[in-house]
Amino acid sequence: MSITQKLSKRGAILAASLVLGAAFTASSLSAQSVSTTPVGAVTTTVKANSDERAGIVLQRASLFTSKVSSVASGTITVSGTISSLGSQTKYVKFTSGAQLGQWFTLTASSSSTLTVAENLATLGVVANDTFEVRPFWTLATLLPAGGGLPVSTDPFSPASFVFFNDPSAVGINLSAPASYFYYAGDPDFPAGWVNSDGYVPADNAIINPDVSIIFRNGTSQNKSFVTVGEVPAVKTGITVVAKAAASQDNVIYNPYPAPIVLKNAGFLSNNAVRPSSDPFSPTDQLFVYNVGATGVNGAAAKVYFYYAGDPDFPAGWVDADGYVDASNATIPAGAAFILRKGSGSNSVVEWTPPLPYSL
Amino acid sequence: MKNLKLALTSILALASGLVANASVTTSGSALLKVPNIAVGDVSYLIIDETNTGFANLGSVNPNTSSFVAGTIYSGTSIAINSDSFGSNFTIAGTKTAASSFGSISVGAGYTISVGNGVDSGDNFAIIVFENSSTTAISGDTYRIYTDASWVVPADGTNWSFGPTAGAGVFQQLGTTATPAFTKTVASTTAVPEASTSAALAGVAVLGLAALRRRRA
Repeated sequence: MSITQKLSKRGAILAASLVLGAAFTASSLSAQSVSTTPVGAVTTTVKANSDERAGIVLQRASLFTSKVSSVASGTITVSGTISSLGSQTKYVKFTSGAQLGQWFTLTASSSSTLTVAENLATLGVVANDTFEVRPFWTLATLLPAGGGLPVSTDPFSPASFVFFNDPSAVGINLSAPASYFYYAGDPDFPAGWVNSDGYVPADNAIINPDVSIIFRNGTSQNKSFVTVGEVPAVKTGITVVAKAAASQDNVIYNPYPAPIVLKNAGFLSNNAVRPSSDPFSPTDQLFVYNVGATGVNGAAAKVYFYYAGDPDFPAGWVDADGYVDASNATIPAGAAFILRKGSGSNSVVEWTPPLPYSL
Repeated sequence: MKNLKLALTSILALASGLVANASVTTSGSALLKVPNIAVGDVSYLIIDETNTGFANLGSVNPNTSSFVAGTIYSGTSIAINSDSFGSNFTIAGTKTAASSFGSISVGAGYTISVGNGVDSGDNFAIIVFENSSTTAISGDTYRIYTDASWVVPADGTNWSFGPTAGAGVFQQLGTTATPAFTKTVASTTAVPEASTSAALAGVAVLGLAALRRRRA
């Protein structure tokens, strides 16, 4: 699978507890540092013999920030001069304009141009749109030396795994097709991340910002890792796919280091979630996983849908367990959830939730 | 990006027959240091759709049994021509035995699509051929390994193979593992057409090469 296929879209991370700028007042947040680019730290705890599903809500440091001078097909000519961007795989994320919050894998660059596979002109990118270039998280940059997750001394019985979901997988109840573990190393094989399919080095495996990750701790002790990165200062978009013939799961997450409230999360924009006229057969649903869950291969803890309303029951978010109002229900910072799109038509839309904080 | 992803997922949908495919992923090594398995041996993970037992797998017929690495044969599609595997078994994928970390193992990085006859609760096994790869070689020996824990779990879950079966872990078979069944690819008595003799000669050469590799 090519990087373009693997990384179909935009991004950001997750958390169990957060350490952020002083602007955050949630109890899970504590002060770190705030400057022109707010930096935060997220601590993710994976309980003993358990899975933790999460997304990465902090970003790696920006390599280049500017605005579009002109655009032709997938190439933008930038305002200013691009210095070396390094060899890491990167993406362009727009911070204003029609593609605000959307990211595109960078396929080529020069001192004055950036090129992606998509036709940005068709997508509405115009002169003066602002953007930033950032490297993707990789296993080695997110979890250097294992990052605090259990290190495996026996490659045939790893102590922990990181599972990558596939944003292009079709269907529902999807498993994660790729798994990795951190190997302690031996005289013949260096320490580092290893793809458990084929036992090949995987330090540079790229984390797709569009999907959540599963961290599995196979030991009897809770383990944690800390992610340090830049706090998203603009909205982040996540791709939501629907299929005509059958339901489709989108294995996504709250892309911000703060909780989002269902009624304010922008799900109805672009029909990322369509209202359901039949509460007993919802059109689109959210399956939200608990942060700090115990056990492996656990099920979602909450199921929500948006009810279209009737004379006796107002339109709004509904908790499928008891059919109670869930408009003020929250999805925790970085928490993983499945957005299950009902069948009906092939579509790809962007869910771009408003920032749940101000910087 | 939108179009790219839509196109990609559409292609996948077509490939899957527009069926919502739930799945189970396995990882790690199913067979580790198992006797009689050599580097290069080709294996297939096969699922018993009706749990009739792997003893009911017929002998592989070299005239009709061909396998494409990585191809998922679902439902009756495994019955290529008169392939004697029967229609109640599905091949989920293939792996080649390799040497990693100083040990010969058969990997288990499979994504099992649930549906089309494959259900949670179905037993699965791994078949390892001594010399056949994508085409069954007449007289070749193949062994069928399975374990009580090798049962397709709930869809949407991720499992690994390890020394001890448990939550999310299938039993890994090791140095003391013995196959549940050992079988031989059926011999053919058919007289080949002249036009196919050259091709069969090529297969024979490949078979010899495989034998040399294996016994070296």
